Amino acid sequence: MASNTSSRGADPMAPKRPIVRPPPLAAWLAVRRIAPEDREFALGDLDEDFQAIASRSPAAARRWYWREVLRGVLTHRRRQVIPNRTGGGLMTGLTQDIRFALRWLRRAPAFTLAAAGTLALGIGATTALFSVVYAVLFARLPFPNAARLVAASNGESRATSTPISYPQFLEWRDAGVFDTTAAYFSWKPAFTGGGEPEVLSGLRVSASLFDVLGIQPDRGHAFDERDEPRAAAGVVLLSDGFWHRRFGGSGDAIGRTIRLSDVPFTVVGVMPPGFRLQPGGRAPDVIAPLRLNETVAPSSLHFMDAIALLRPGQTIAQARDALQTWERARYPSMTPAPTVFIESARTSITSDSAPVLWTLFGAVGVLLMIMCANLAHLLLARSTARRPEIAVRIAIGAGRGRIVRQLVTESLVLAAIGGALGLLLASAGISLLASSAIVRQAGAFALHVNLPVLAFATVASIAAGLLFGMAPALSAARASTRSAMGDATRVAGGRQRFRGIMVAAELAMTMVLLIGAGLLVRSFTNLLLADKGFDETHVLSFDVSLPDAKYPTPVVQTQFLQQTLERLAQIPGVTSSALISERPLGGSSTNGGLTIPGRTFPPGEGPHGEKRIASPEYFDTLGIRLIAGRTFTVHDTTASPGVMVVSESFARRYFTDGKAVGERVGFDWDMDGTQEIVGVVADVKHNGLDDAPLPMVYVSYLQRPISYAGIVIKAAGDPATLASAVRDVMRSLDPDRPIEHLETMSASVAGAMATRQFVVVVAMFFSLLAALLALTGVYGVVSYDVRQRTREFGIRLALGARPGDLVRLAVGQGIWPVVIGLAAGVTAAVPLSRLVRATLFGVTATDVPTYVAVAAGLAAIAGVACYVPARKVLGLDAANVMRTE
Amino acid sequence: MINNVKDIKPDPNAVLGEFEQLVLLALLRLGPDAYGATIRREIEHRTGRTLAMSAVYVTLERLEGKGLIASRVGEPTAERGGRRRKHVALLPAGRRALTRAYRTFRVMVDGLEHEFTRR
Repeated sequence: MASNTSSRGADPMAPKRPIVRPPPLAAWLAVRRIAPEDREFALGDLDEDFQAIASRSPAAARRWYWREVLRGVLTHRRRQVIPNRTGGGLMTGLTQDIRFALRWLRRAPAFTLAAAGTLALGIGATTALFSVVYAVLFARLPFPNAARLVAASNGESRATSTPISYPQFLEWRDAGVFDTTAAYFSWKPAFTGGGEPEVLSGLRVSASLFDVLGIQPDRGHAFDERDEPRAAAGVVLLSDGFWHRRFGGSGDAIGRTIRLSDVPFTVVGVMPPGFRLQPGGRAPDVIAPLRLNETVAPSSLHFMDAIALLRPGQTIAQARDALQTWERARYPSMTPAPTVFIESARTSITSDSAPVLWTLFGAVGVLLMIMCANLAHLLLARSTARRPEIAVRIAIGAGRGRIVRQLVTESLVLAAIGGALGLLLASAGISLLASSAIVRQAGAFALHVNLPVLAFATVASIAAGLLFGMAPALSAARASTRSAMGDATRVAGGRQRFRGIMVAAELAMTMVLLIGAGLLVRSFTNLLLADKGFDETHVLSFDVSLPDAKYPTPVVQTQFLQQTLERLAQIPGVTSSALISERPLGGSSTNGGLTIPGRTFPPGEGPHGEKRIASPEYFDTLGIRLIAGRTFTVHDTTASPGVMVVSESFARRYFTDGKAVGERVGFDWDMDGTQEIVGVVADVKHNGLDDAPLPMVYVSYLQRPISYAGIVIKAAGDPATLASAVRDVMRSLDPDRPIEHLETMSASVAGAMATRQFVVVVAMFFSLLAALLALTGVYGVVSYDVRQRTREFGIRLALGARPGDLVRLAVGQGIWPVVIGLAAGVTAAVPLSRLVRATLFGVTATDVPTYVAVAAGLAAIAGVACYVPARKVLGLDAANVMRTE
Repeated sequence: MINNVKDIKPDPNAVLGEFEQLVLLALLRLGPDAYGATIRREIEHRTGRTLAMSAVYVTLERLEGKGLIASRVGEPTAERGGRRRKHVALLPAGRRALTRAYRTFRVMVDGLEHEFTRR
């Protein structure tokens, strides 16, 4: 497999000189442009010289090649071939048309600027979003083996898939289904090698991961299976960034011993710059081998992600069937029978962001179409002014086809100018997008103007040019054949009808966009107002973890945490402090099965819940409502009976009428016996604000010690001002204990809304822009109509019509496109709004109030846009009109 | 295999343009190694000019049309991506035209050498 992404040259199979290829687009052009009889020899000569220059400087060679193709080879063909082939007819005509179009555009700079500007905006926005869509959904992952990379997990579908256990990884690795199988899990060791202690983002990986990805360390060496056992000496790979940040990029970092969570690790190498597993995610600072055994990672603990390399030619379905069959043969008595879910690594990374991206891309595409419709009737209005010119051309013998060609060429030239400007806008927009968090989250590995993006902009420009140019051109040519012989001002009827259709189409598309945006806004406000189950105001939170090496026993751990909570509560301005094993919106969670003594459940439907370990003050600090019974007290300790608090949805799901207090539940997680449920509390949204609340059980950290915790502090005033006091307290308790994720809960909530907010803002912007364009269209139609019918109105006035009747008449001309457009818009929105259903919250895709509000609002504004120009009729003076006409 | 010679009558009094002279001289220097890329390189190397490949091709085609040179298709080579070369060789008429040009030049320069060697 050729890998030209690696420039290390360590591969003994690689040729001595790197293979440099001519730029593909230039080479393609060269092939097209050289006469077939000369092609082989000329291409050979080009190649030969290219290689000679490339051996000194590949960049210079590429520049040279392009110059040669654009200048040299083209000249050659033009001189030698074209006259013999086509007799020059088409080409000469085309150059003529283009030259003429440019002259025409130069003569009307205001129109050209407005039209090209509109197009640039539309094409720019569409292209910028396309670059994101392409990078996220289509571009290859930056791993040499990307095409065969799959993610494997337990379950039937993505929604129900769960991670695998360590013993399962060992079995899958040896099952022989995949070419190579690897597994990893995230790891957050504290780095305490002098200086400010720091929580690192790390990975623990199987040695096979490097083969699966096809990536090797830049310096030093990767792991092998001997490093994997729990007892093996610790080895670690550094990221390029971490290596530079903490070791100054010095070569003697390799071989040094560093302390990670108070365990010594020997540095064995440095990863290539930019290496990461999840695109857009943070590069792992440190990568260590699994270092597991079946005692610390039994088969009940599902925490690893598996990534594997398909065998050459093997499909995902084949691999899935083979692995599932293997699992079922291995565990024949398991009920329900084991299932396996496999998807391509790309899909597993990007599946979450795909609907959002398609929604935005669709919206911007519709916007582009509206812009085209707008331009179409702008062009049509202009063609009125050109009627004499066209008539003359027809009179001296130009056919209708020739006229249409000329006009379409003009549109295409305009589109080309707009497209070129749009591409500039897009590249600016792309760098803006590349730095936005949502795009990074979405998993865009490499966002830049590349060949596919360029091709898209070109196709979009040409399509736009044809779209807005074709109809006006046909209409102008048809009208002109008639007008050439008669009164030029009397043939506007058909054209006016066409403009009406364009406006109706614009309004219909605007309707669709506005309804989509309206639904998203309603979802957004619903989420803001939805009951989260906790009160984030005045709360500061952070995470802390205690390494086994320094805090070896549960007693020491609990002591430290207890002391921490007490000291934090003493900070002036703090009203309470508490801890929880996993904070809401903190990004991690633990769940598993439970038992209810005396009850049996069908296989696979047993009690199941999110498991949390909390301190007694937790519920008060976060304002979690108590529904029944009590929460924990300081008297619930290891010396007293085990107690448990459950969430409302847990109580409702497993006990009649939700009456759970007094019942007993087994907590099969390092705790013996069963606990008595002493209280029921409100549901808390843990993973995201749009998630359904999960059934949850809580036990007290005084009964089940933990070595890591999320700390929450309730402040009397602004919690952010407490940050430095909190840091001081933590430093005085243990200077080597870094704290992480220190932020206000309000910021966590805002963070959880960020993607949605971005989508809402962009959708609003697009749809309001669309509305503005459509309304200028409505205004244009009516004011044009009033101008055209001045004489008619004058006569009506003279014959005794009241001004009010005339206004009604003029408005009527604009109203029917509005009515048709709105009706069509609603009709189209019903099926189209289903596309955004996945991103809606608390509102259906056919939400009647949204539809009515948007339709009424748009109709009202469109009415105004009709009425304002129609009022000009009132200023008419019958005598004056008759005189001038 | 020699192409393109049978129907072409060499023009006995062909007058060469300046660039045609350069190309013919390059052919003379390169001998059997002459083809598009080497001719261009030879002229660029000696005169210090930068040439477009097309200029060379156009001139070769014209010279072939005048019956002064002939072309032959060679073997494919790896450095050219497996493509064949089109070798060109001087025909007797070409050599005569070049000789004529050289003589003309020499008689015109005769006695003026100091004008070009000073400075």
